[in-house]
Amino acid sequence: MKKRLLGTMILVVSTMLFGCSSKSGSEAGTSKESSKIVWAGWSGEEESTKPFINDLIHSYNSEAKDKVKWVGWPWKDTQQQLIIRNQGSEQLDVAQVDINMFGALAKMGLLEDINTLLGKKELSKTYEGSALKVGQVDGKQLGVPWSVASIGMVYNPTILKKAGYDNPPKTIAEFEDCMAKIKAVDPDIIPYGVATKEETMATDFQPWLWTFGGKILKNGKVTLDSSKTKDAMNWYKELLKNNFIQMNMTRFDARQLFAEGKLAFYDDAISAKGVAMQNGISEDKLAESIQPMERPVLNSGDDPQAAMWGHLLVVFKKSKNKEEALSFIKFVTSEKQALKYLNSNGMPPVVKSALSSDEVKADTWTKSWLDYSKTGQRLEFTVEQNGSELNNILVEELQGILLNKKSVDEGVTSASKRIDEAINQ
Amino acid sequence: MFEKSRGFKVFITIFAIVIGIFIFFPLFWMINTALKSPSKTYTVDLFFSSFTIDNFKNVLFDRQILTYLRNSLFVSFTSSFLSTIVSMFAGFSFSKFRYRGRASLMSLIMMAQAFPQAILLLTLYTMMQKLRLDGSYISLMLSYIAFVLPVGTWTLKAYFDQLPDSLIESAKVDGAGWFRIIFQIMFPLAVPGVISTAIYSFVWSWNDLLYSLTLITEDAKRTLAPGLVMKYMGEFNNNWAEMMAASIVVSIPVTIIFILLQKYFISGLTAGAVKE
Amino acid sequence: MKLTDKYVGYILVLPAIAIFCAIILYPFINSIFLSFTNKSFVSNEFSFVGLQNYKKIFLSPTFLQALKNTLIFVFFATALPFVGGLIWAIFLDLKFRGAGFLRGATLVNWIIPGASISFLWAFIFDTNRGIVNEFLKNIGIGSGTYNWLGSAETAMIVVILARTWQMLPWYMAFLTGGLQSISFDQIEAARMDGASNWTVLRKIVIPGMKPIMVITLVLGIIGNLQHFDIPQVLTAGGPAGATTMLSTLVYREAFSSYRMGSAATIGTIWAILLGIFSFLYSKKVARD
Repeated sequence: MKKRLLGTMILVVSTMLFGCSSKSGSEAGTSKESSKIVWAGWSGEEESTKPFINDLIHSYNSEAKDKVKWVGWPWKDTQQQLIIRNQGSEQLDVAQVDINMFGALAKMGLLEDINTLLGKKELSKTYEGSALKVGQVDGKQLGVPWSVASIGMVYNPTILKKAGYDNPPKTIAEFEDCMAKIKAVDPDIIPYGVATKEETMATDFQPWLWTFGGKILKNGKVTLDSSKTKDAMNWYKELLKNNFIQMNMTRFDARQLFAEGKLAFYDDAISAKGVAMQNGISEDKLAESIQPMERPVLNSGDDPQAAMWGHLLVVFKKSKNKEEALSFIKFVTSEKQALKYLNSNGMPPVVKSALSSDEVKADTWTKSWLDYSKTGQRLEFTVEQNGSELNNILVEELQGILLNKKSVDEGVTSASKRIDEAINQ
Repeated sequence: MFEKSRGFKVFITIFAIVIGIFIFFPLFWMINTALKSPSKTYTVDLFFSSFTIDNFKNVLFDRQILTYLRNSLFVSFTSSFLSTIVSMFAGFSFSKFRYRGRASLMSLIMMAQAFPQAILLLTLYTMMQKLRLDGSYISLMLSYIAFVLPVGTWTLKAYFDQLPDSLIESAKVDGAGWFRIIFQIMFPLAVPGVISTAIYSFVWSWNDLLYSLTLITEDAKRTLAPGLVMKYMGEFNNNWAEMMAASIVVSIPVTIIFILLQKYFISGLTAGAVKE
Repeated sequence: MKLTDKYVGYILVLPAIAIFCAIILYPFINSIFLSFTNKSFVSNEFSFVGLQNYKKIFLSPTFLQALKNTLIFVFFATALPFVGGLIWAIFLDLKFRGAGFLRGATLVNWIIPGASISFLWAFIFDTNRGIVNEFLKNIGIGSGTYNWLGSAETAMIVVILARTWQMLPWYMAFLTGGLQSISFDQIEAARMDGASNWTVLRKIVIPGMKPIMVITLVLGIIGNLQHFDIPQVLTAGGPAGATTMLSTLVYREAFSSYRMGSAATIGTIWAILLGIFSFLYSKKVARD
């Protein structure tokens, strides 16, 4: 008796749920038919950016006749999902990609050259040159910049003051001295939250490698095995030995620790300010809690190093609506929308008219960040098809060195050998 | 089952305490994290120092999460129901029938879990697209049923193995058909196995991230695991406290269902014991 | 049984076999085929490379380390929750008030999404503010800043503990099923003969539960081999590859190196290893 009851119960519940869901399915189906352009990415899914993206799509759809439909994934899965979807017949026109996803998609030949759609002249008339460069691969404009700046360093002025630094350190020697003083003032503070986990570790390591004069690749050849690389790695080791940096540090940990005042320096994108506010720093305390700085240099007079970072918009080769897609991209990057994005999320504009607007000039955070980005370069694996694999190799070897599993020499030799194999495969 | 001798009591008490702490302390810590404001996520403080129910409130009033929850319940229930039936048939067949190819079919089914699922997905995705099943729950449920098959079939086979063949023989003498034998005679006796399989299958669908993420793109159809990751693990920010709150909230209805099912689980057993 | 029963037997397995062939067998055969090619993720052009992928994989230190890690992980992440789940099941089978509730509450662990579990354990073992370090400091062990997840020696322990925590309810549920299917009459009879707890456990409970125990172990091992979420989120396979498993390696090979051929090769080696294992197992079952 009871069993029959259970069976009936399950059946009823399933039918009920099935009824609900098939209804919602058909609702979504109708909205699909009327939209022409499919835009994929992650910002339309995230709590902080979702309102802006929804608003953006809404205002575009209320005017244009070719409606846009959004498809989203988590940020971490976007590249993988874009590639899987390019295999199949599913419609995909425009995507938001970050600079690290961009390279793989470009090298795989999935992206349309924007020059053929819009022309070089018009592009360079509208967009800032340094931002355009970020979307160029082998002479082709495979991505239109949307928000471009560098990954820079930020510091906590209050902590630095306690250690006797009114201004952030300018050279590596000063930087080390500053960290030692911070540690002496308060041993609970971690001086530098450089990433030591996941691919971010490779992102954070490269500008330091450049600072020491090293390069992973030169003209397609692996040049990692050099004394400069070893200097940079020995320096990292020294920092770890002195407890200036910590293993297992992710970007997210660093942001949280920084917001709690337990971290003096870390590397981040321009959105660091907004993140700090979300993590609990009140607006009136911002200036005394977080400030951007130039990366310290080896010898004074050197150019400070920075890695370029940003979001791009790409058009897929398989898209049947390229012209329509492009006019949507123009709308997204337009001065009006870009300034709105700056206001809501602190994402910097890329069109010249917006960059020279009073709003950007008055925004000291954005202004100084963009100034520090001027000497920025793309990360070295950005335009490799298997950039993510190369990053993983670098991270694994670097971790091995830091944990004393390998000597610096062994680690560097093995890293350059593995990177060489992975590139030339 | 065991005599409550002193040695047994000491043994079971010590281990029950250790295992109890191991199971419930992290759970408590999760609730503790969810009850603190996000800026305190990373502290060892207990929740009353900065008590807030905002995280729970946000989750409960979030229509999107409730949609994900409903979708997940639907997908998990249906695939659990279907895979239990399919596994029951297969398990029964393997246990009570002898035919050519039986042994090879059994090991073949076991293979369903023997290959990395990430790789299978690549072929499967293209296949589902050709069949125009991508984006539908059917593709998702078929995969879940397939992955649960080895567990379900082998578990239920083990249960049916314990039931004497004489039960079937006497039922046949009474003129019962196979359908009746399976559902009215064997099924009640295998209820513990059936429930275990159903629960396992339910949780499999419930926890799957990769397949759901790839095969379902429409927001209205999204299930919980990808939904939560998407909502709380962003490019710049991870809202861990609210993610913990959401994880707790969504597991409450499922836990209640499991607790309710336990009654049937035990009553099914006693019924079996009496008949034996 | 009669001859016609044979067909009933076939009909009953038919749905299972049909789903299996569509979802598993075809992609599986396709993958084995790909393991002899240099197919990349994106282009449809490829050529046959023979055993080159296999040679490369077996010579790669990363693969060998991942294989070793996987064996360690699978062993401990199966043995710990198995033993813990069995004791917990016996404890809850004492039928005291609230046992049913506790059993239900235990299942919560298993329903919580893997990503949340990973973060939970990352908090617990956090270097700077984790409760484990705080506790150890308070009882006077260590300085309270041990980097559990950042050290090659301890990262695996945390991964195994997190997985044990997640799966213990599953082992408990299966073993409870086995425990409750043991006949009371037999135990009563043994008791009459003056059997001790230990004898009852060894002579009646374990033999009675054997089929369920074996199934639980086999499925536990296969499940752990497949397991991906926790090592990926908790440690990202690091530090220095200390928690890279075959499952994370395959995923990386496919989705970050985009080498289908090579990923399929690891998958095939994996299937062969399991094949040997299940062959030995079914040999044993056949003997029993």
